Amino acid sequence: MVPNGMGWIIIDALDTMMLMNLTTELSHARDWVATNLTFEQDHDVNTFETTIRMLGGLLSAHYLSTEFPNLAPLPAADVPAGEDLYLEKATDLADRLLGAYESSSGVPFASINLKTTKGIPSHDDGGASSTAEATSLQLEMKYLAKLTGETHYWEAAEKVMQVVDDNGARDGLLPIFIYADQGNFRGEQIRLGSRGDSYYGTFSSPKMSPTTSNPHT
Amino acid sequence: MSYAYVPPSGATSDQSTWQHRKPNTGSQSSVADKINSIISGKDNNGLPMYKDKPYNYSPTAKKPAFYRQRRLMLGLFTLLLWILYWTGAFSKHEEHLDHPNKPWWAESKATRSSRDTAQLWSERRDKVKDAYRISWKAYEEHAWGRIV
Repeated sequence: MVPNGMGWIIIDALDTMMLMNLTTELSHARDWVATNLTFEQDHDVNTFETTIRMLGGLLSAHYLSTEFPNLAPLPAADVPAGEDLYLEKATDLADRLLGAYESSSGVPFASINLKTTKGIPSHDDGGASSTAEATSLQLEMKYLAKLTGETHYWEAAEKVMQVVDDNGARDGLLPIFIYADQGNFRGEQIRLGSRGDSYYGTFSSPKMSPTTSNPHT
Repeated sequence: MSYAYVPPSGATSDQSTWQHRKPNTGSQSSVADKINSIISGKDNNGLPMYKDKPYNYSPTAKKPAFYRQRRLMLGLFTLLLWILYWTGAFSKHEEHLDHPNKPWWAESKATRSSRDTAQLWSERRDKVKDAYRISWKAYEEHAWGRIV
């Protein structure tokens, strides 16, 4: 257990509450994010899950609240001028998550300690990360790079795709495990299901394809 | 103790009536005969014992037609209700939106034209939101922020 809680469900549901126009519930959740949510906790989290749920949840809340201010609008008194709560929390979290990418290959470790921001190899599978997890961090990191103008979020996620590409995928199919330290695949098992699936999903959007390398072009 | 019935005074004139109501009084000796006759089953005038009830005695014999008719009617009524339910006669008209092939009586042209698709979707959205509110309220009360 995390002493202060992580609020996974609260973060997960922010965008849902906006889409449902549930102002009361959203207001309560936003208060929790503002006063209680902290990533300064000695707690190991999965890099992938934290990226797609926590970072993704904060970013989608930022997107909806800024692009669609009429969805579950909060009283102006509740929001201090100039405050960008969701984006600030997202940036804080992403800075910690960047620690996972600090392997010798650039492929992120499976887990990370939020407080030390130190990457942790998987406790299973010989320490190798899931190929699907390592290659499915593009959307959040690249969107944050776009919002903040900080290219290193983009580059960290993009580096993973380059390492994967350099391994040479036969017929476009990848083994389901990849070592963070050497950047080479572990074993030859291929799945379109778990540990493999979302790598292929990454390419359904042209903007996310590995050949798009610079946010400013 | 006198076992003989003493008629009220002046009952002499009623003697015939009294005698008629108590026909066996005058034949005390016949008690043994009666027992014998019951055991031997030769007394055709006494009431039958329970085990002597004839097999073909029907309790419904007096009102068979009415009783059977009611059961039949109930069954038919239930069947009719079931058919109406099965064909959707009891459900709201909005529910038929996705099922255009339905009996002519299920929906008139007027109600069909007044059907509002946007209204329908709005109602469905509200139901989803209601379900969400219920779950969220329980989460707020019992696990707020604490689920890792």
